[in-house]
Amino acid sequence: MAEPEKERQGTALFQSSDEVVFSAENVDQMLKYFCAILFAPAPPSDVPDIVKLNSTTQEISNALLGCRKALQMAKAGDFSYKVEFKGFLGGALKALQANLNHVTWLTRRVAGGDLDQRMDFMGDFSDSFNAMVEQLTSTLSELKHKQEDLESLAENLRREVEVRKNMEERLRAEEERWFLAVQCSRDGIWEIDLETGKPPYYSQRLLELTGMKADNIPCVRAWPKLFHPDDHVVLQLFRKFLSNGDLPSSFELDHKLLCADGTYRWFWTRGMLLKNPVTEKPMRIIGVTADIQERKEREERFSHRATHDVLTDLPNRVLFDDHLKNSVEFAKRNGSHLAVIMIDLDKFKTVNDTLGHYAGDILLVEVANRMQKSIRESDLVSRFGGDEFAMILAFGKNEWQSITKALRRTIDSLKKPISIGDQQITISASFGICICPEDGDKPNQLMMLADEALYHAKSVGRNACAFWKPNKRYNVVRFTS
Amino acid sequence: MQERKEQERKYLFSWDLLGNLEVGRPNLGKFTRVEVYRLMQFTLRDIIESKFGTEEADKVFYEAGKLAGQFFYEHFLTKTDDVGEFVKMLQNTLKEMKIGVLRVESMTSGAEKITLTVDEDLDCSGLPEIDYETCVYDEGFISGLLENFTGRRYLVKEIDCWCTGDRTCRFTADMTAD
Repeated sequence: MAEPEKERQGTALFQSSDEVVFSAENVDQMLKYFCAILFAPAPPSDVPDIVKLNSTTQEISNALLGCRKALQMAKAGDFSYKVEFKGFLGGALKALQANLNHVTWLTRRVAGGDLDQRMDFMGDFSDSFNAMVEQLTSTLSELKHKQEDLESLAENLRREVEVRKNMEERLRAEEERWFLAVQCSRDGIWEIDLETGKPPYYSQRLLELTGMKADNIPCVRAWPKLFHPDDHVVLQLFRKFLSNGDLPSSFELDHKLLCADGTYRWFWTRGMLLKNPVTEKPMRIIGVTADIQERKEREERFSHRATHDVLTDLPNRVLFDDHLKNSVEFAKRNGSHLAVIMIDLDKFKTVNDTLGHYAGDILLVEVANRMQKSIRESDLVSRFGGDEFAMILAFGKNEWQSITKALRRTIDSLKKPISIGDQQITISASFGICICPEDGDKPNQLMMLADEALYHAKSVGRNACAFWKPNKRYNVVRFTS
Repeated sequence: MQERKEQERKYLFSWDLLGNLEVGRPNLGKFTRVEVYRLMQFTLRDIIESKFGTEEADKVFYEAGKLAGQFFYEHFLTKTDDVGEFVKMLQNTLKEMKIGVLRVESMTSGAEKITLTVDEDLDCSGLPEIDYETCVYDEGFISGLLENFTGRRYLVKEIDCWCTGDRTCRFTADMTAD
């Protein structure tokens, strides 16, 4: 192609193969048009005729416009412009579109969670993209581990909650069972909280048993007032507890308790001390208290019956033997004395035979009463059976006279007539006496000696008192009717 | 062309026909030059075209590429249902075997329509501009791969080619109603 002559503007500079004439004017127009495509904010609206007429300029124009349009769309993120022109520029543009579309697709895949995707052969862009995905993978992996940790934690928490829930349900069931047991129990239940100092708990049943009201129960420190002064075991236990908090881990005892009506009743109490497993300090005392008044009374009745004569209510032989044994020991220890006296009513059989056994029983009861009244409280009179009685009279070193006085009171009391129905009956008695420790210091021995002396008193005509002496040289005192 | 029955065939393809290269080429190894591959493909195409015409030659190459794609998928790729994993695996394998640089431009969610490019293509990159797309074998190859992956048939068409002045080979793959 010949070079256009710049200096000859307005005239033909060049004629192309398709016979289009290029003048200085239309070349200038064409260049301005191409500059406008390349540099102006908006593409030129009119295409110069010179561009339209020539196929080469037309091709350049289309390529530049296509390039401009493709770049404009790409700038806005749209890589879909169809590049129609071939060659290096069109190929490069298509490659650019393809690469950017590929990046878009890859990014979408990564955003969708496909972290295996990588970009190849795109220089720093590939490196940066791949580094970003690897960092993302690493971060996600960390997050996944943390999520797994959290899930594990959540699972543990869920299990813990489940365990606690089950525990709470069990506790609720236990509590309900406990409540019902307390409600149904005939025994009273109580609890002292040693750690918090909260007021003690008393079950309703305990209040019913004692007749007390919760408001009126004295504080724990004043509880000793509620126990019977003779309940030494309870009082000692309680005082020890109040002074240093010391208590056995469990205890069980019978005791009397002052009830609201002012009377003492027998109760049975079983308590348990709960300690703090860590500090070993006492935490709570919990216990059960039952009313055993009737049982105690029954036991006392049985006990009395076992040691007393049914007819006269005097101590029987069992209690007499026990008392004698204790009295002998006491006398030995203290250098005191005691008289063991065996007594038989004279001709009592005649009363039974003539007046009947009922009358005989009345007589025995009256004799027993009189004998009981004749002696001191510390002395003992016992009925062995039938018309046989026995006495133990204790006296000090220089109180020989007291024995004589007691004996005299007894004899005198028997002398008075006894009314049985409309009859007045007088009865006498024979006495055999031995002295401890002068005559002997063993219970059986003393009983035997007193019995020997009684036998002698009866043998000399009854209504007499024989003091045992060695070699059967009894001192006999005969009574007058 | 008339299809022949298998029992009448002499050259029925099987993977074993590729031979044991470790035994057979202990010193030269598995690789040869791209020119050798292209020499064989283009001379073969020349003769087929001369004997059966351009259209038949293209059909032969598309079918052969498809058969190759199916065997390639079976022997070099691991079966997967995940499209991302499939693309990644294919990219890596094509790159490692120096067949080309595969890039996906777009893909519908069910892989019904895919646009992909192959840079540095074994078949055509660097060829002179001849004003027609030449990667018919690649088209068949890609359709064979996609059919084995999805279990559906694809029509693959090259829309840009090095030979037509573009610097990258762009293919569209459309799932067809079977």
